[in-house]
Amino acid sequence: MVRHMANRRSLTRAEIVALTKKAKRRVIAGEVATPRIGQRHFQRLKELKAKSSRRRDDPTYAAAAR
Amino acid sequence: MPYVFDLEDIDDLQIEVDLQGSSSINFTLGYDTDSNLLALMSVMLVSGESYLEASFERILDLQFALRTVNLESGAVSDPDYDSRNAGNYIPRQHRPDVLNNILKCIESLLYRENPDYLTMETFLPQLEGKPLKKYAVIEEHIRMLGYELQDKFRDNDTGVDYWFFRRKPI
Repeated sequence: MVRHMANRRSLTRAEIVALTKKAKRRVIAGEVATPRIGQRHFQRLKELKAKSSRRRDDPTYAAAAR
Repeated sequence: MPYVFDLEDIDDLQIEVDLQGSSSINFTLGYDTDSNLLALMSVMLVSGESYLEASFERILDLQFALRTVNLESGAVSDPDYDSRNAGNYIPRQHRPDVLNNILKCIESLLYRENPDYLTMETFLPQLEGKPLKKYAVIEEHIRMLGYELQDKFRDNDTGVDYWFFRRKPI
């Protein structure tokens, strides 16, 4: 409650603009953690590649694609 | 086969937190099986400014952006905030599904971080119609999560729209 009382004022519009711009610059500059890529992504890519390969080998699919 | 849309179920995804107090959730949009590229949506709460912290303890900026990762080299692209590029990775008919995932991510991130204040801006200026409606849906969702809108405006110089939320006192 005390924390809320201490914070009870609004940002000016100039402050809002400056804050959002700076937060975006921080992300673009790489200061915010980049995504961690898990094993599941490699596994899923492998599955999709296998599926794609099966489709290419399937004469029905190849005919339809033509 | 080139790009395959393959939207990831976000229920099991973890929040990634860095030392600067920013947090994010990244979910898969799809894969390019020829170039081994992974397309991600990053939903982020980026920590606010130190010069404001004397009077504003916790301000976070909500951002969402596309990223690609090369699964061979591990190279991660810069975030792409431009919604005009979303069409490269999100088929039109699946846009509501992706927005729904973004809303769930926002909910998880706000629940964890519980910021006092939150900002959001459009990347593109002069947005109207459907592109702006997406932000209206997000605004409504943030309100539903216990925040009140303190200010909302279009910057006269840039045409960019801004939102400033404050967590409702309990």
